[in-house]
Amino acid sequence: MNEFALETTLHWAGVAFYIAGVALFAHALIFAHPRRVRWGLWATLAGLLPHAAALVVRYVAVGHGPYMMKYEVLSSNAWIAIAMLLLFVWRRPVWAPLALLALPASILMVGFGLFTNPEARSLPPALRSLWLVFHVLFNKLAVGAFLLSAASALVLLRKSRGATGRMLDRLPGPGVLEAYTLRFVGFGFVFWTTTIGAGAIWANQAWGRYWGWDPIESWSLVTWLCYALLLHARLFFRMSARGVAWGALLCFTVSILTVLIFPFVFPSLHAAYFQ
Amino acid sequence: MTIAIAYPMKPPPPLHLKRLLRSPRLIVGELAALAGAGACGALLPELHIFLNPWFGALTLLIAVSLAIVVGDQLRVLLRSGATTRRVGAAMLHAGLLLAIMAGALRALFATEAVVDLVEGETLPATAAAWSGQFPGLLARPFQLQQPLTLQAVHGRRYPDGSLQKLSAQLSAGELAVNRDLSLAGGRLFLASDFGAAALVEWRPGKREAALLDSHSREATSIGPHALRAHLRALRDRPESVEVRVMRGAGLLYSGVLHPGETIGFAGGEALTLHALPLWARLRGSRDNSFWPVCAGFALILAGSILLFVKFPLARAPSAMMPTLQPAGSLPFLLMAIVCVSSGCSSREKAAQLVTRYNEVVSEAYRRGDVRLIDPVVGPNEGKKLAGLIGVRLDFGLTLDSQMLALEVIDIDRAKNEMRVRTRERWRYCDRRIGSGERSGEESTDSYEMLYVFKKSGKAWLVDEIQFAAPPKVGRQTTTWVADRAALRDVAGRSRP
Repeated sequence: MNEFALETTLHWAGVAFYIAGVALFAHALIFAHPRRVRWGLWATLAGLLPHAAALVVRYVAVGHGPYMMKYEVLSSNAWIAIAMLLLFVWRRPVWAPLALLALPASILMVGFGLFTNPEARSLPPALRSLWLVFHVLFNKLAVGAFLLSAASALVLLRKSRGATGRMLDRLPGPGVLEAYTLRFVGFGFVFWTTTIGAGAIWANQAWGRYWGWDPIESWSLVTWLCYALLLHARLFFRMSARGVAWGALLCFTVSILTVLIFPFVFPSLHAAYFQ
Repeated sequence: MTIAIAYPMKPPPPLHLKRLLRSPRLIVGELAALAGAGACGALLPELHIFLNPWFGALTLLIAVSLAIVVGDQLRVLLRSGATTRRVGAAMLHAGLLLAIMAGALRALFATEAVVDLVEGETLPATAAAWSGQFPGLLARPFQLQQPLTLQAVHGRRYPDGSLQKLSAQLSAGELAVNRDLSLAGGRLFLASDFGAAALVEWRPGKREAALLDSHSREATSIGPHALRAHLRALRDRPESVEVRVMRGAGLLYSGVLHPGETIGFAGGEALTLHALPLWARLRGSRDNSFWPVCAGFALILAGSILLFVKFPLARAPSAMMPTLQPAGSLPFLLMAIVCVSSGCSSREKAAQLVTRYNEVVSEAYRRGDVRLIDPVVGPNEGKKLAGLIGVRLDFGLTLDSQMLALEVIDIDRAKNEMRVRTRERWRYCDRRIGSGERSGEESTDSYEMLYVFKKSGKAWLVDEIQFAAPPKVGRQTTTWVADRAALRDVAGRSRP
């Protein structure tokens, strides 16, 4: 079996376990078997292993980390998001319904990545920097945290409308959901700040300037400002829980546009790395 | 008798500028305005929003607000004692203020410069030696304190042709991509642009270094009497270059030139290639705002960790809480989404694709150079065009064409295929290779064409072209007259 066939098989094995994880989470929550949430966790964890192995095989094959093509970027983003989800639900099983939103979104990310061009691309000399590792790693952590905040915001919107159900009833009330939405936003904000800082230091090392209003640099600042706006609005104004949820969803949209859409749309120093 | 009664003067209402500048409404408005300006600047770079005075004024307003907020937060810290949240908030805002001030320092006093150097060339220690200077508003131009010689350029590529490593040996030390060199006067950086430099001499006229582009490995050198030479190398450090010399639309010479060789032309002009060293692009930078901005980033990071990770976010006391319509403060988000999703229309896109294809193919016919068509055609149409251009070269001719009018009639677009019907008017004439003279009569033709574009990666390539209606051709005869001497000289060298 060649390397590409191996990593594709490992990827699909991961996806199969994730799908099983979603089914087990749904079973545990719909049929009110809270102890079986652990089954879903184990199945998802079992998916993380072949998924991680696929990323390692890719790393060995192309000689660089997962930051050059949609295929690599989406797969590694999904891995980080799922790992963060597992970590959180492991510690707070009451939040298991979050998995029913975040896990399918991550599966879609992996699936979409698998259908894009998997051709390996060599790493340009400008990308051979330790700061790139920090820049990319914290960016993925930020996306994972923002994904969880968006999932939490969606549940919050449902609950604040008075929706009930076996799954929804198991989740905390709107007040706690709002606090956790903001907590995820806070984590993402810190990671995003680190992403921008590491990118600026690396740009200074490679190009002699730490900020150049490159379109993706500008959008990363816009994303940071959007989240800062949400946090300030929540802090200073009588913003309702629904307002916070909508704000978190809008900010998440901007962050996804910045990370996954705009690099394909605008000519930018960052564009070449994802295509 | 008049009695004057002195009433106590009512003092004017105090100007609550400070209160206004730290008010939550203004701060949220400033953040929204900055985010909106950033989004517009990224979406519409042609507006140069980040260089606009009002963008500077907005940043200044934010800095003043931040300074007042930081002052207040520090006062509260000193008076009421330090808590993690208070320290976090003060650090975050102080860091932001520091970052903005560093940015202002950079905008005012930092300088960047760029120059392309050829191996063996010495850069004088003057500002004028740099070909491009980008100084801040109050900055001196960039210059080094001592002359600098580029001794050698070393490039290494991956098997797929993309750049793996690039370094340059300078008289002052070694420089590489991602490894800068600090010198008196500033820092030097190596960009990823490099390639061969053709040192050519035109007679009568000038000597110049024609820098071959790092990706296409092509360059054009302009000579006397409207002569121009298109040069192409086949590797980074070539031993020879392909040369096509043209006067106007006529091809005068096509062949391979080694260092030391000379080509003569009918008008008495001559072109000599002296050497083929490498060139590299150096960037210079003098910027004292880097460490302040690093300190700012560190404070922002530490502050946001204390503020958002250690503690969940609390609301401000209710006395500080005005009402807010959240939807009203984020209209720029919707605007950004609408702007991006609209894009340019299919018709404009189709017209651009057809125009670009025809420009490239016309130039390939004119130069007799089939390699030029690679970026715009797929393999099917590529083979056909290579044959057509080659046949003309065999007859010692090139085609000089000019599109006079283009109208897109119809577009049929599927996922990876686009069929575009056009109405076009062209002017054609054949030109003899060697003299560039027109051969035969000129013709003005009208066509209805069908272009079949297929998507390859991000590019749309022409896969097939058909006549959608019988062409209306102006000239009645064509001059396919082979000049055997030109044919022997040209065809063997120029055909792919």
